[in-house]
Amino acid sequence: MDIVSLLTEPLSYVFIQRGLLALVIVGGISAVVGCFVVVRGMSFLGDALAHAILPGVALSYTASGGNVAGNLFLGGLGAGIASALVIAWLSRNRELKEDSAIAIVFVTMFALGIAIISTQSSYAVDLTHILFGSINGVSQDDLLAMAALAAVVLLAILLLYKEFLLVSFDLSLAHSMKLPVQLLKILLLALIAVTIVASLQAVGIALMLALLTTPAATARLLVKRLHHMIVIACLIGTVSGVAGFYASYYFDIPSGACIVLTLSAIFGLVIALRSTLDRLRERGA
Amino acid sequence: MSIFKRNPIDLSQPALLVEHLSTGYPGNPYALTDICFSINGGERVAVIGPNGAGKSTLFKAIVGLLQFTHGHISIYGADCYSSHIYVGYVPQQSEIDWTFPVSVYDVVMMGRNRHIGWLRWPSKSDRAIVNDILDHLSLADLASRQISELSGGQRRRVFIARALAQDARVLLLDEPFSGVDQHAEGEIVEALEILTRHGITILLSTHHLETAALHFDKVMILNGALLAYGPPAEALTQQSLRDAFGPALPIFPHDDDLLLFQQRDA
Repeated sequence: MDIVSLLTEPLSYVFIQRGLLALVIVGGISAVVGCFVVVRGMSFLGDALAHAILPGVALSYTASGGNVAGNLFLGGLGAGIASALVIAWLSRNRELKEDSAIAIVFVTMFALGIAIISTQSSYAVDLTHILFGSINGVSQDDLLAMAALAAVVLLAILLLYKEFLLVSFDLSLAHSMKLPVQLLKILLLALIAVTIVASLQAVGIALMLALLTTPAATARLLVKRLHHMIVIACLIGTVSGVAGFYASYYFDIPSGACIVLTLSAIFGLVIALRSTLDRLRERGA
Repeated sequence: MSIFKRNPIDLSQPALLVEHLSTGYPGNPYALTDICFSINGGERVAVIGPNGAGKSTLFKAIVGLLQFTHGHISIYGADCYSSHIYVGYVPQQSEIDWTFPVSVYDVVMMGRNRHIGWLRWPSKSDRAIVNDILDHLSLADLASRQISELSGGQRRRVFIARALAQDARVLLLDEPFSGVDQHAEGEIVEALEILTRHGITILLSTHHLETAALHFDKVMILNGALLAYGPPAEALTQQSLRDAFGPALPIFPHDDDLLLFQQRDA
């Protein structure tokens, strides 16, 4: 079999084409939003938010009669934004450190989600799909919803880039310029929640964190300005989406695991390349 | 020059007027009590006081980072809540994340945020203004450097440049001389000269008594309350320094200068 047919063969089915598109969208926007997660050092919050959407997803899911292809977006989004707001509110207590607040909300929501799903008869299979994603279940409507959510996220970042940059880099200046700092911070959290919900079907909750952090962290090793980092991370994310898709098809491994392993491989390659270059430069100097 | 165009504020009023300001923060609610002073446009004022004297608190109140219940602050006659855009703030170096992926150019452009306006990207004129300012402060060659790849003096100049891009009329600098060598201190003083030439008012906190005496029009001695305020020769007396720092006076690098003040005072 030649390379062209290796690449085109899987695409003969419409549902598989949808899967590929879904992974490209998800890889791309997660990487873009992930840049803000990485530069603000919010990886833990990203992971927590991914897990905290479970009860919302579970409710939508049980409401639709145990149908994974049902509309999980709305419930997930609600749970994600509610969690973000509760974390923000809890963190105002000076006796409670932010990471503790995040941890408490995260485990509470996750446990609640498990409790809700366990009421269904197909408990084990359903939970596996939600935790690890099931790319083959992406329907036409799902794909459209993902594309719409992705468009909203990208547009918001394009329009508010300089404000998000300012709030991430220098809160004092943002405050002194009378920017609505709190609103911008919550909006950024909401964008992370939207991204997670859009990505849920493709990679699942458990591996979401990798899509947010790995492309951004890899890009940070390559460039030194945030907007460059966003472009490179997006590229890495989409390429990994495609590569992960084919690996998933040919090796029959879940798509989420494939895309994450691809991201990690790129990260490993970049960091190895960098340290080799650094060593060569040292020797040259 | 276009970059130093005047803002629509009343220049006949004092650049900075602080009246009966009392404020604090959780843990130290009385960090400052009943502070009153006025600074004229273009003046350079050094704020001196021991650690915990309320220097940073004062700056944060002026710049709008700290709510205060008692007193009033105005900038060129305008209430500070409506005029923060005219106040530039160079935070302590330890408050900046130097590993953040931004270049010198990016940081200076941040000063243009409110001028650019919502939902927009910098225009050609914003870019021209930033490049002008970088030239002015001899930072043009460093424009594309990531901010951690700068020397101490360069780092502070970048933030001074940002305040210029913001079109600030009053600039607050929190301990810009701490942790820099003689050379970098010279660089910063040079940058301050440029600001003064453009009529920008400077309020700067420092531990360097000598620098304060040599390069500033007025010195303010602060320790919870305002202990002395005036030209260096009048404010830097043995009495006021002892009031601020206690009997264990700091070591003066150049005792001669201070002796001179003391003799005049006596």
